[in-house]
Amino acid sequence: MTATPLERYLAEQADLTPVERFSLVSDACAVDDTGTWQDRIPLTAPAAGEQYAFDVNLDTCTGCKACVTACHNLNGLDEGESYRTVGLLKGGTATQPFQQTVTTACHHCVDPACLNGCPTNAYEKDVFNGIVAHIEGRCLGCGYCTWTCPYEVPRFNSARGVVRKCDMCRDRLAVGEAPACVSACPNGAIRISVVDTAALAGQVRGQTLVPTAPPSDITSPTTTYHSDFGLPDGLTAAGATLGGHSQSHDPLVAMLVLTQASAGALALDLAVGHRRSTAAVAVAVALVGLAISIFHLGHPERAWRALAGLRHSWLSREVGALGLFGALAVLALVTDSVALQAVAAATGLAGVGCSAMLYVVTRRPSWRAAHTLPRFAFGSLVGGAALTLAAGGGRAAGLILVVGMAAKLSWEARFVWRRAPGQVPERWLGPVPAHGLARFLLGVSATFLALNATGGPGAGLALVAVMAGELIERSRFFSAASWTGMPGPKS
Amino acid sequence: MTSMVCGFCSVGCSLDVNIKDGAAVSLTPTRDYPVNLGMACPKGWEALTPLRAPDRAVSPLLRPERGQPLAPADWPTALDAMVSRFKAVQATHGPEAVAFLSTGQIASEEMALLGALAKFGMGMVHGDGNTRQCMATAVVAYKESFGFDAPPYTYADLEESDVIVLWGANPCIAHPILWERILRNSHHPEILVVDPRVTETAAAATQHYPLLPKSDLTLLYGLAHLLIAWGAVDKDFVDASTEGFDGYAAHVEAFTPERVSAATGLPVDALELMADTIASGKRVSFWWTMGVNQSHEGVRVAQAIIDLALLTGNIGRPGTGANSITGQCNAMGSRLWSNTTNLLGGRAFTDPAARADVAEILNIDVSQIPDRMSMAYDQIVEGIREGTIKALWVVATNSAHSWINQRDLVDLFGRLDVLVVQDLYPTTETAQLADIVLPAAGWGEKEGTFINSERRYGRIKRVVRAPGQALADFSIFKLVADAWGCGDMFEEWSSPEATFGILQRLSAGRPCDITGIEGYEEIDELGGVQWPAVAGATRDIERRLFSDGRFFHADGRARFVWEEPRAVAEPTSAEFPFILLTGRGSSSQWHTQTRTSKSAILRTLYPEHAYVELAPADASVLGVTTDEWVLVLSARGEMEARAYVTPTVAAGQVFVPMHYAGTNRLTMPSFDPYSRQPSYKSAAVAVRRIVGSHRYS
Repeated sequence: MTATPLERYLAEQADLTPVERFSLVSDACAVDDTGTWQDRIPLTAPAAGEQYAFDVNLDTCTGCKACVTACHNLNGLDEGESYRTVGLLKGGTATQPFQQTVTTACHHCVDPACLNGCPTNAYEKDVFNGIVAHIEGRCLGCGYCTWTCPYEVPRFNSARGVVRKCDMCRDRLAVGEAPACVSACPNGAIRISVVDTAALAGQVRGQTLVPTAPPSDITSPTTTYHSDFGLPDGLTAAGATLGGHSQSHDPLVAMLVLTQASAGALALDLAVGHRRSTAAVAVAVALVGLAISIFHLGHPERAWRALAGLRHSWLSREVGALGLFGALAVLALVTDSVALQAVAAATGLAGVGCSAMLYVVTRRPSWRAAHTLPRFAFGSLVGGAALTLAAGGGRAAGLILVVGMAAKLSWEARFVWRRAPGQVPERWLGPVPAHGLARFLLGVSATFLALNATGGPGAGLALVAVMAGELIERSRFFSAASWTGMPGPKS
Repeated sequence: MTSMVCGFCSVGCSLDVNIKDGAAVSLTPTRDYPVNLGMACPKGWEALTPLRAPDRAVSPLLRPERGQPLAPADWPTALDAMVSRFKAVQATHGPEAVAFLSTGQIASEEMALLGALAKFGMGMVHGDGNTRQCMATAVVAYKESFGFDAPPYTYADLEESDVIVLWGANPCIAHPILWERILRNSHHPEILVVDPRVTETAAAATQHYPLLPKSDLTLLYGLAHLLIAWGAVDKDFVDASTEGFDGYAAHVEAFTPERVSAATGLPVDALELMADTIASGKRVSFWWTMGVNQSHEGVRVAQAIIDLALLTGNIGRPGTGANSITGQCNAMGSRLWSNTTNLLGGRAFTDPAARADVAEILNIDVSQIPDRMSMAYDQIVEGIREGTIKALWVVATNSAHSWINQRDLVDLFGRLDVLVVQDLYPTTETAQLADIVLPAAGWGEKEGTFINSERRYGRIKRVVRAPGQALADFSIFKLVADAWGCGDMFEEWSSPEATFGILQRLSAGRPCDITGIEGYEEIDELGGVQWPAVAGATRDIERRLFSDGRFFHADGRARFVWEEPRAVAEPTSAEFPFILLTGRGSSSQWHTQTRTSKSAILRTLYPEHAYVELAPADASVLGVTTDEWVLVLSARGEMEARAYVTPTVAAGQVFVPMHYAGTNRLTMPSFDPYSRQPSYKSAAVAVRRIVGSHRYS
């Protein structure tokens, strides 16, 4: 039986007949035919005191974004994933309008904040070529590097539970081939150069890579952006880059509030007269808080690695201090040792300090020390007082809560209600009213309850009010944080 | 590994497709192809991704009744429904009540088969392509000026010029690989950009002329006025190779710098600088795209550009030319082979000798060839309103998104007795209106040739399996021919390559002669072949036309063509105070986004929601800031868009990218009278804040 035309066409459709391509007869087009774009990378490897760096000619970056798709394709990245982005600066005047696209990837910094912050030493800076690479197998997916990097280079890959970033295609460079983005730029706007790291680090003060980028003195980024014509003053970014949209922060919010309250309670319990019931409640709260924090990780099973970075990572220190705090607190409770409880409380408060520091060192304006340290200290004070009161701490605990809450609310009011341009980013103030009001009302309620309660349901309600207010406030700490980064595209 | 040309725009880059287990897995730009030299834009890098989209059409679909959803059907049922319903319409309303809308996105061989089948086999008279929306103006301009629709250049000209004039063109975004070629120019060229907006290209140019929208014709005549006044005329060339100079010179006499300055908004010294730059260039090339073509007087603007090239003798030499950059991957295939406006091979339907010629080559009865011009796209649409067009076959285009004054078109399509849509996706705005959807295989899933902007034939190949029952457009046309009962007529059209042989015969002795190409394999070997490729002649890889100063008119002379500028159809008013400009938003978006929206990485490269670019002064008066939602309204419709405040748009103008579905609800249906190309870049609109509605917070 002969096939019908339809059957024939359907069969043809499935029969792929790719022809091996013939070599072209012509050599009319004079291109580097080695397939490696060697004219865009240095002839020799960096010497001592030097490293590889991206070198971007802004005059020939005209916004085609081929670099982004080439990075995605040549590196076999996940759907929608690329290590390179292209942002846009705009400005000028009505008579001299101006726009400039800015291609950006990892800046392979002299002093990489991702590496410094990483609790598991998942980052390595190659001593010979300076490339900052991330080793996925060591990453526990805490996402801390997405905060420490001022350029938002490492990005959390939720499908894989780890962070991923550009490694300057080091495997290609090692065999003399240009990185994906470098080889794919139709205009040759991206090259690899060799820079003198000491000289570069000496020049970063007061500098930014391009207008609107974060201060270069945070990490000493090595990328060079240059233009023969210069950029006009007053440029703004067309849009934000990531804006911190990486992971849910809820487990962190709970962990911070609970560990701070617990450490505060263990300390206040000693101050107002030790009761074993208070210690028991505090220990329980601490353990819940520590347990919840695990859920923040992309790879909880690798949590044990988190102490590897004690020498440089405030996150490692936080994990260490709070972990030790938990252990000591349990021990103190079991032995009912006041001395041990004092040590545990001190360790816990040190842990709270580490918690604060890990945000402070990111140098994000809304997380600066003046905002973060008091916030976390107040967390220990009011949370600890509320716990102590609820566990039967009596009038002294209630008074501490009243005074602490009054101090906290008046301190917060300064920046929650008042617009202070340049001081607190607008986003912090933007949608605050509902949240701010709720937590002020909760705080005030807790204060009134504390004034009238020495225990029982009133104290319990006060605890609920304090904790709810704290959770709201700490959640805002993340969601309204100011994000930095390279100029983003139109969004 | 195999290589093939890209299926998005007309630059015609070659892509190396890596094959594993017989099917394509990835691609990289071809290094030694004379077009792209190892580079591609984001669309090219992502060319395979849209083929894997989950919403591909995998079987024919039939709508049992209007208002009901499309339901899967098998091929025989769908073909039978299409044929019987088309024939019923023809029986009642006459053969020409069935028309077709074709495309610049399918292979030349497929276009030719569709055009021949529809007109010679199925008795249709009217068929047009979406190339009406992009290239019609250049076609008409070239025909009248040169005697044939023949873009004269080769891309290497971009590297040879010392002055490059980009008129209504934004290659940094629309044709990034052509900008690559400009940057390879080692002569430190002056790059002049004529565009109302400070586009990426304008920002990168050495001179930018932000003329008032649609004042192009006046500006061009003003330049000619200065050049003639300064004696910057190549008299030898004008005398030997052109016709009509005296009348042209008399015409531009009236375009004094003062008049031109008032009309264009450009100061007199800017006009003088521009004219002086052109006059002092030794190799000046003029390039235009949609800023010229999509205009109410685009043909005359394009011809005024050609006039300038003729006047200064900048044609036929390396680095010169009046050069239209095409839009779609096979727009030129449509121009030569779609059998819509032109009879196959750039012939005229009204020419009895041409009809006889084609009838003989195809071995068909000459009476089967219509002796009338086809109606243009807009006339077919009007034909629906008037009741003369009752059934439509739409192939690989998305009219319900892309046509000007979109709401009207959607309404009219609803009045058709039968709408057949042939596409990769049943989800396009147009397929959603269809009675019958035919599932097509896409680029990468079929064979044939595309012709790029510089007249270069390149191959596409079957490297990916089409999903389900989807078939190459070529196979679909063959099935329709069989179902119609005229399959015998196309017996020789047995495969794309066999059809290429027919096209070669049809081209013999014509300006577009390709009889010298030895087949598909040779196109591969040579890295594409530019037409003409006459049998026996040597074939350099890069060639331009008119190096002998002879044009395609019978007397060998090019024509100066001119006409008084006309006002736009819809000036601004108190109610609609802004001029709406539309155009490409980013290099990662292609037209109505039926393909590019399927790639996650491309989606990261442009704003998800429609946006409108506003000048800071206007935004401040409106009280609008960036990212705020606004309503953009015209007399025909409205769209919601996010404001993007930027000084790159002049006060009084707003820009909305064409890729968002709402844009063409606003556009004003006016047309160039000669090319019937819609004027997408001129409409009067208003912008309002959306008060109290935070659509997306």
